[in-house]
Amino acid sequence: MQFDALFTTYKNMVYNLALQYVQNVEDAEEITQDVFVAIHHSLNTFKQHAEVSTWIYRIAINKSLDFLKAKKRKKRFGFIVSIFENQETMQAHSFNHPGIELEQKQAIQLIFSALNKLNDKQKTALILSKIEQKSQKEVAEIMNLTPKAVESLIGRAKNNVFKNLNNKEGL
Amino acid sequence: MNKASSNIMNEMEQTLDILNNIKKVDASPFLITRIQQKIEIDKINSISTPWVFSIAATVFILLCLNVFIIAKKPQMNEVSSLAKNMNLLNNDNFYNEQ
Repeated sequence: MQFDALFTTYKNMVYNLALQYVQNVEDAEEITQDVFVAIHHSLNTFKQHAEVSTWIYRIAINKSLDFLKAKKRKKRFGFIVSIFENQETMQAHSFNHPGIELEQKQAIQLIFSALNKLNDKQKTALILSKIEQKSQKEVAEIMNLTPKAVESLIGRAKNNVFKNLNNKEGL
Repeated sequence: MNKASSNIMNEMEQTLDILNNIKKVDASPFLITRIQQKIEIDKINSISTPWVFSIAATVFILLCLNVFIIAKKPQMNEVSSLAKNMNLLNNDNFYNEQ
């Protein structure tokens, strides 16, 4: 398996998936870089019986979730870090999703703010099914779950997004 | 499912359907250069596993050798008894100076 061929085939898939998690161009590019570095490292250990796209999806999901956790940690200890690091690194990235048209930006940003509050599994299930347009079977394969579990995960995710949206409107 | 919950479900679906309008975008053409740079940096920074094992083995052998030499070093009373047995002087007073 050639790294260059994998990069050409899957770069946009990885970049777009990362964008759905972080909703920011710079962060999505950083995640994409990390994903392909990880792919390069584990290319020899990749088991051929698994689907390549599923394998890459899993790496991209894990890297995106790790990135978000690291960002959250950094934000939590922001004050201490800001003493030692320059201000530029501490600036929170704003909502900057190039796949969203201007007239829908506000509405989608609102949904993303509700989606960002979900736990990792619910968030992943909703992103894969609703934004990446994957079937329940594909989502189940990527997430290593049964289709039934994915169905209930998506149901709960939708309910929670709706609850979060209502809470926001109620404020 | 009653009508009220069905309405809520529909409303939920309609709200989330806006996410279908998110368009796919192309990644930056400069990404590959940055990835290659990162891979090169990683290659430079990483030491291969056989090297780590050989360095660890060398350090372990040196340590064992040190312990062995220290353990085998003759004690002072052994030197004294040897000197006595062979009628040797075990001091530097060669001329019976007082």
